[in-house]
Amino acid sequence: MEASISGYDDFIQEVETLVSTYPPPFIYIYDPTSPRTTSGVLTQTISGAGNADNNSAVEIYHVHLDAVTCFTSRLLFDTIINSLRGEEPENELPERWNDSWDSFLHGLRHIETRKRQESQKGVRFVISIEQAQRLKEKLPDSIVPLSRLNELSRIDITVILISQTQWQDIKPTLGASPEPYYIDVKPLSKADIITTLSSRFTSISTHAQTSSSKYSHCYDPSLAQLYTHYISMICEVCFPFIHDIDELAYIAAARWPGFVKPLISSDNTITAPNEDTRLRLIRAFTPSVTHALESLHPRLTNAVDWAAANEPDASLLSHVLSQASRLPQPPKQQDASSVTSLPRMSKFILVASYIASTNPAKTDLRMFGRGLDEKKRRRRNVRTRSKSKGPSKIPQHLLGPSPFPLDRLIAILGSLLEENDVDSRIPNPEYTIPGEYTDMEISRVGIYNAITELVSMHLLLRTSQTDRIDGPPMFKSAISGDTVAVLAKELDVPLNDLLWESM
Amino acid sequence: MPPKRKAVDNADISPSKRSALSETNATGHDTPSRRTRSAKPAVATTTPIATPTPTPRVRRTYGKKTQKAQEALQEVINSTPDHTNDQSDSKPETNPAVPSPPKTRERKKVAATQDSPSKRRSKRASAVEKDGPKPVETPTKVKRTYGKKVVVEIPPLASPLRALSPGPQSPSPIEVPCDIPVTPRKSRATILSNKTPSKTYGLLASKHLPSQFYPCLNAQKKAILQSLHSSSDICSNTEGDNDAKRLLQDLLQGTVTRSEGNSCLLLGPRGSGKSMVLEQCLTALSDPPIVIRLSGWIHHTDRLAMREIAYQLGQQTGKSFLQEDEEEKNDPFAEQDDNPFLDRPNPQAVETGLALPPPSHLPALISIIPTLSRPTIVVLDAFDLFALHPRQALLYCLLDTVQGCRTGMDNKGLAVVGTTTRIDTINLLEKRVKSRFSGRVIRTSGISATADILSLTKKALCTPLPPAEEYEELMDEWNDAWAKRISECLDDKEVADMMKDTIGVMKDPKLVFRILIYAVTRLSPDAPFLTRSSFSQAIQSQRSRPPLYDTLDFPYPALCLVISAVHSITSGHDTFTFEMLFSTFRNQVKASTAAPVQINGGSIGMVPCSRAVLLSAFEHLISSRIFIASTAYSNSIAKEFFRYRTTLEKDDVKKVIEKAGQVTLKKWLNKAE
Repeated sequence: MEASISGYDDFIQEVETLVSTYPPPFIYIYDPTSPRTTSGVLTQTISGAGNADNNSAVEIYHVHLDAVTCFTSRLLFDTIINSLRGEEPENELPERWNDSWDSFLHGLRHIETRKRQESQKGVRFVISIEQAQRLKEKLPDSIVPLSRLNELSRIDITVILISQTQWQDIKPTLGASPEPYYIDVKPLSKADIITTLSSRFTSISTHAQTSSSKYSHCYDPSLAQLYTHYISMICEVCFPFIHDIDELAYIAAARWPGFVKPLISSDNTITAPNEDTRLRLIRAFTPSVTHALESLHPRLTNAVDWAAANEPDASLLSHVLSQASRLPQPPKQQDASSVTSLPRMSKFILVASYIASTNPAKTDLRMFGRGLDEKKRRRRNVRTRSKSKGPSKIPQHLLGPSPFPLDRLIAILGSLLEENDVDSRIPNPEYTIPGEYTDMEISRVGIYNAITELVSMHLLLRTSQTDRIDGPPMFKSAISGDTVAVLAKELDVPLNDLLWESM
Repeated sequence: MPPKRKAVDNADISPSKRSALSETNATGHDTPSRRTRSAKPAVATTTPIATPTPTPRVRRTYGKKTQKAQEALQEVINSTPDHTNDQSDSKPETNPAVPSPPKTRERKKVAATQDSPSKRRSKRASAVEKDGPKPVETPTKVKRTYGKKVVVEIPPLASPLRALSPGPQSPSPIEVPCDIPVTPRKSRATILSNKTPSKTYGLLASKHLPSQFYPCLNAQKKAILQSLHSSSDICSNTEGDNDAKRLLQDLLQGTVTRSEGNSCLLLGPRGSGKSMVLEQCLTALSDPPIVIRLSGWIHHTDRLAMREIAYQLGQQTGKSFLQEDEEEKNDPFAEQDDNPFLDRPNPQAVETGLALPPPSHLPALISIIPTLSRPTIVVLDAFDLFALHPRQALLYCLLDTVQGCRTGMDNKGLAVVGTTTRIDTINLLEKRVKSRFSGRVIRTSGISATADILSLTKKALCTPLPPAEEYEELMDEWNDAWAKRISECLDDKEVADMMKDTIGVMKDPKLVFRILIYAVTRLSPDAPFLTRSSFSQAIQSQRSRPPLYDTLDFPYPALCLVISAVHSITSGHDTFTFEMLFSTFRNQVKASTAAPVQINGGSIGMVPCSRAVLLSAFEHLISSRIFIASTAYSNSIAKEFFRYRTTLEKDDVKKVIEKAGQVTLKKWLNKAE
């Protein structure tokens, strides 16, 4: 990737010295903030150390792998062996080298011997594994042999684990692994990040000139100065929220085409702005960076789509000063979009399921019962916090939905329909007793059908086994409070009055 | 010009004064040596700071050597004051260098109290940059534009006070002119007097290493790392090890030469040299036996172990048979025809290593080991783990075969050597296995005395440079300087205490080696020698690991979540869901922004943060195991409602927040009482 990342000088020096001289057999690199960046730097450093010194006594072969992809021991062995082996024809294989640790070690020794004969030099293998914390979950047995690989294989081999967690978190019990040589990576400072990101402009620019991307004209070399200021602005806004350099680069890349758009003249050329324009630009775009952060960092959308959706007016610059105009505020994201197209009855079912999941069952009579002293019954309890009675109770909507039987869902649904749906029905003289029509509605097979459909859409969760025949089937609501609020508003249900604890 | 100006005085005067002073010096002493050193007249005359009082003399004394060096290296290398001291002593101006003891003490005190020479130096260096006029130079001398003198401190080793002085850095600086292309801010140019008595050597003790010593430093680093890497060489001299080695040697020798069946256990704590002793004994054997190495760490079952035995036997016997086969045509395998694994070494099969016997034959394999043509030594690493295998079948087979070995018959010897750290290993053995085990336990004690470790450290650090051409001339000087600085550093009471503490925590030489590796890899031209602080840093990093909160650098959302978690704990809920944390955070933001107070146009409330950003911060905390799931993963629970607990205690969080330094967060945390 990019040539260098400032702030990693000490790390690079240490790794380079170790790898090119006499590395400890087992190294543990701990980087809580940006392990991906670190492993990139590590790979670069090791390959640099291997290439730098042609007349050194050892030839360094480096394998870098990700513990996420190597989730079985065969994958682990194969990845290491294959990349160490290079392009050796398949038929030379004396045995399968991925069966067990034994055969893996045989393979390593075999390759080492061959490489040594080829190069007439010492051979050193360096195996670096990133996201090593995954090994503990997927391959807990492999940590001990990996940490002892040097003594087990009796060849010059160094294992480097890179992890977000500390060694003590994945250390095997009983002292089975030798203590590693620790390298702690310091987090990058803001200044380092700004320097690094700004220095990347040249390479992006040259790359963009050759490519035919839609945004290639945005990276005109004359904008280098502006880019530095732009990066400072991005970091100013986003650094408090993100310390990962890759995420910041992602946001910067998404906002840049829009940022320079006001500068593009009609014939698609860009001129570097003067001081005044630059200040105006930065002032105009600062608020939108926050929005970029909120939608891009959690990956609610991707950078290209976001850039397209948030393109500013070309004339933005002209009225920036006159009125403190901002970019058009992007519409609020609504995660309820998937449920608003459901049939009306399904929406009622969803609301009912949410109520059933959050209210305690014993309060149903109070909440939905219709009697003479309605007002008295409807009274919602006021949570009195008595200090002496231990920990305060946590509202159910924070703990997650609780399961409920189907009967209860139907009953609540009936109540909801009777309260909110009766008026919208076509009058039917057949039903004379109050509530009879609703009773008819909720006993239709269509309701059951809708429930099954909602389960298949994962808007409802069935918690009981499907093949159980005793007892009613149990369900759980699987939609968030926000979604329910949207639905309730659409159906005109006074949701807040129906919930035992206010949201 | 005051002829008796002392070194310390010189160091104390301001740059401008000094430059004025040195200018007068430069003009006042136009000695012949300067003319001989015509290579850089510009520097001498145009950098005013560069030449305080004794410059010309010292220069002159270097004249001859310089010329030699020029011939040899085409480079002016003249940082070697050692051979010149006799002469400089005789000069009246440099004679403050031969002080009476009280004077020395006084000067040292001064030097010690001005304990931040770097500050002073940097100030001075900036002065150099500012007022140092650019010397007019020939193009070929471009590199030396900044060629300044480098401060070289010469500690008065001969003085008895030396031993009492607290730090390694106390000696008063002595400067030796040398032309190096160092960066201007690092270099400085004052020459102070040479105060060491004539018999001591000049020592390199500068903050910044002269460039011609770079190869030396690199070679030294490499040499030390090498000696730390092959640690068996440097710690093989302890007596306990020698005992163990002798015992084991006798045992193995008996197996090899007299075809005995032997078994023994090498017992000792980690890093006490079990494997080392074993390896040394194996290599010392007269004719190489078949060595089968098994490790309890990877051979979890007896079946795996048997397979590996078969493989290694095939590899080793196959090869040796092949050789015999070539040497003599008559068939040495006649008696082994019934052996299904070692039939005539079919070259292909041996090469491909596929001659593994079927699984059913594997147990029978062990019993034929004594019938092989060479004695066999089976090494069981992590012996205690083999004892945990069901029925201890492998151990039983091996030890039974060992017991069945009869000398004098035409079978060969078999030795089983187990290594372990577990003291009660023998008790783990079943009765039938234990009765077949010889019961010999050879203990390796490792390094017990603190002095041993310290001497080991010294030995490792004082690895002499391997001779090489590029720095041959400087080697003696470097070695002296290095050895002196190392011994100074190790004699330092604090360093010694730190090392003692380390050994008190764990008597593992490997730990000491790791500490040394850490310190040595960080040597650079800017800090070419080991110091007290580099030791303490190394110990901090390798032995007493920095606590979790010290390494964390959380962004704002993560900090908020961690604080919310603390609040959740104080309200009595040790486990929490994301929703709980989020609602705590939301309430706090609401509360803090409720008051419309503004300071300098900014709200003093907490910065709001969207739910999605917080959720991704939450996931980051989970992946770095700050939050740990307290329930098993299940498909039916949405990720917001998973229950977690935090690994950060309240005090830890407090420290993290303090490091981040946000007042609102601090206040919020303090509410959790």
